[in-house]
Amino acid sequence: MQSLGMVIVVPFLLAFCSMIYELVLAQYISLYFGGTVFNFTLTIGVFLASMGLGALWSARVARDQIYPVLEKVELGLCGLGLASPLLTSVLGSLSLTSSSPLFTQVLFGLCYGLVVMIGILSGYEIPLLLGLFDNAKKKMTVLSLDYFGSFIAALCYPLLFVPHLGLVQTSLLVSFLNLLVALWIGYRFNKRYVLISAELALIAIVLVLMVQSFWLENWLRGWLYL
Amino acid sequence: MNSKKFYLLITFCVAFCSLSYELLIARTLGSLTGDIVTSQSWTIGFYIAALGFGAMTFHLWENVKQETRVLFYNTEILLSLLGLLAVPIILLMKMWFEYKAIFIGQPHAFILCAQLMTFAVGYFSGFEIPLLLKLSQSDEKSESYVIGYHYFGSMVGAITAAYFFQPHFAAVSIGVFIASGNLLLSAIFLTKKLKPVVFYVVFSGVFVAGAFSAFKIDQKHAEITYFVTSPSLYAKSFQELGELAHQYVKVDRHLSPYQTIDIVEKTAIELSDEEGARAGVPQLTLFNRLYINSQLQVSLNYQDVYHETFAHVPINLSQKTPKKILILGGGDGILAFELAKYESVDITLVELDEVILNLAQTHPLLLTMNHSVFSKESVQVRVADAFSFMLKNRQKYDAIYADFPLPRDDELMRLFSLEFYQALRRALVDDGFLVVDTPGQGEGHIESRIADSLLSGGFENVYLYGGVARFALASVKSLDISREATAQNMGAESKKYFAPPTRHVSTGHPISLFRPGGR
Repeated sequence: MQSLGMVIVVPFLLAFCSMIYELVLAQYISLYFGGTVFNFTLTIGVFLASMGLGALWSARVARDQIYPVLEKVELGLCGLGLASPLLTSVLGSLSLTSSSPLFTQVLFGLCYGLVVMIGILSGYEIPLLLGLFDNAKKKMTVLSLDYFGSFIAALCYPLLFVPHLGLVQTSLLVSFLNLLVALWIGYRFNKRYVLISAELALIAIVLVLMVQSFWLENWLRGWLYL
Repeated sequence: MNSKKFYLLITFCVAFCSLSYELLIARTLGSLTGDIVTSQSWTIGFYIAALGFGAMTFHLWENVKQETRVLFYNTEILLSLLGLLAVPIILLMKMWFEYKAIFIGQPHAFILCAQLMTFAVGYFSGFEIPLLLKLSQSDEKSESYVIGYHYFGSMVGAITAAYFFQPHFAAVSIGVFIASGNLLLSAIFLTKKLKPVVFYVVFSGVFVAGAFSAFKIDQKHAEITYFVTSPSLYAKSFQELGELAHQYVKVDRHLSPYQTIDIVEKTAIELSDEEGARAGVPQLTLFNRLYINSQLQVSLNYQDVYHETFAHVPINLSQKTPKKILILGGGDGILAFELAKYESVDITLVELDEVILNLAQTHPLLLTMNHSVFSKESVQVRVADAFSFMLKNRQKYDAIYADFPLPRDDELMRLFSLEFYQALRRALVDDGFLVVDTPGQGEGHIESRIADSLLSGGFENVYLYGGVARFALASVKSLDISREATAQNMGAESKKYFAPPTRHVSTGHPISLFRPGGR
């Protein structure tokens, strides 16, 4: 069970979530700064490079530290995934009303700071997951499911998420999935009750926000008219 | 340069090229279908999946080819060919599907078919890292460097595409340029001869022919796009279609960072009666037209009717001549010309694209249509994004005209969103009005959704009216739509085609930035 979860479900879900975070962020930045093709192009490049950076860094984690680090990385990703629409809205609305091109560029750069952070954490996960196994076949399965997760996310995003859920609910749903993974890792392998409590609290908040997503959208809309 | 640095440089360059090909495919699909988000998402998804698949299966090829250097060299040659031909092949696919009437109105199906090219590029790009790792015979530390440089190359590729290539060059030209660079790189890599000289001569010939055909296909695609809507009725074969289009259509293309502006000259097709009867089609009369991103903006034969209906009907209905008018979009200047007919009006025109503004002031066809309106003192031009302009705006206007290309892509959708209309409402005086051009009822209920967005954006009354095109008129105060709507400034043709306004009742599906698909 442990093996099935860590080899198949977790790599798939983590790659799935990361890809959706990236696409949502690209679309949010396009909404506020304009230029959909430009921002998707830039986001893809910056995201890939940040993933590479994250992957290079995480190779230093010792084996017995993998589960605790992975749980924290997942919590960080959920936090960023939840906060990035809000932060992008704040930065974007400031830029729309700013008359200084330099200030607009700084705000734009800060939005890409979010892409970089999500990218680094997403890249950080893969070597951690690979480090859990010695068996080459299992490593290969983990890697394949990682690619497959990104692929399915990219397919689903324009087909299911954008038309049926919209940007706000998509962010919430993906953060929810990511939190479930963090909770499972925490409960099964780490048993750090502070982290588990934080995850449960975040899950509760996400569920409430999902139910109240229309209110949340109106609130974000309010940021457009600072 | 020592061999380690050499391999890192090569790694950087091949990553640059590979991601550039992916971005090029995504951009081309976005501009062909208008569905930018799907094109970008699916293309990156297929590319990443193919990269992974390539990296996992490259050893199968390795068994066939003995030397790693040869496999790397062949991979790069193949990738440069794929990069060169990806866009032309996609354009050919599009033309062929249109000719055969396959996947008409199904952008997703077309984007999916075109992923064959993404998969090919991604699959062979997936060979690069494992091959370079083997070639550089690196220890664990320099292995990280190879991987790091690969990611870094991809990022620089994306930044260059976003800031340099995409805003200034056509997709085919970018493909030819990057593929040539990729090929050159393979040649530099090849420090000793691996194949007979004949191979290089033949291959160079193939490459040059490929580049030449790429430009040819791009031109053909533009001509066929503007030829007729049901090409199979007019041409017996795909080849004949190309010939006919070339004979009757002349495309004058101008690229701007925001859009592709095509001024298209067409001549009438003179089918003899016998030919016409055989083809079962009426004689065609074709006119000079202005297209933005392949979408018809203005046609010389009905521009009066379109702009008269757009400009004057709301003024006739509201029975008050606005003094302060804001035009958003409309860089061709024709709407401004119509509105400048009123005395003592003060018109501000906000246009994003300087290229269209320059064309409107220099191109003979556009000058004929807008009567050099930009030289009038009553017309002020501001170069700005309409969304951003409206959010910063603190002025009030008597009338706002939103003259944008129809929302057939994600980029334009935000200018038809309830959030945008909220900003427009705040900029209007209480007895003012807003007019928006809409695609009509035929296109996926977009007209009704635009009207819903106007209602959600704070306008209490929305009326839909038409002529040769459809418009939505929004106001806070209710208007008496039984009034004579064509009383002043409307020509006989405009009156003839006029369809009176009807009041719109909300269907509850506004376009929102946060829910592009409706709720």
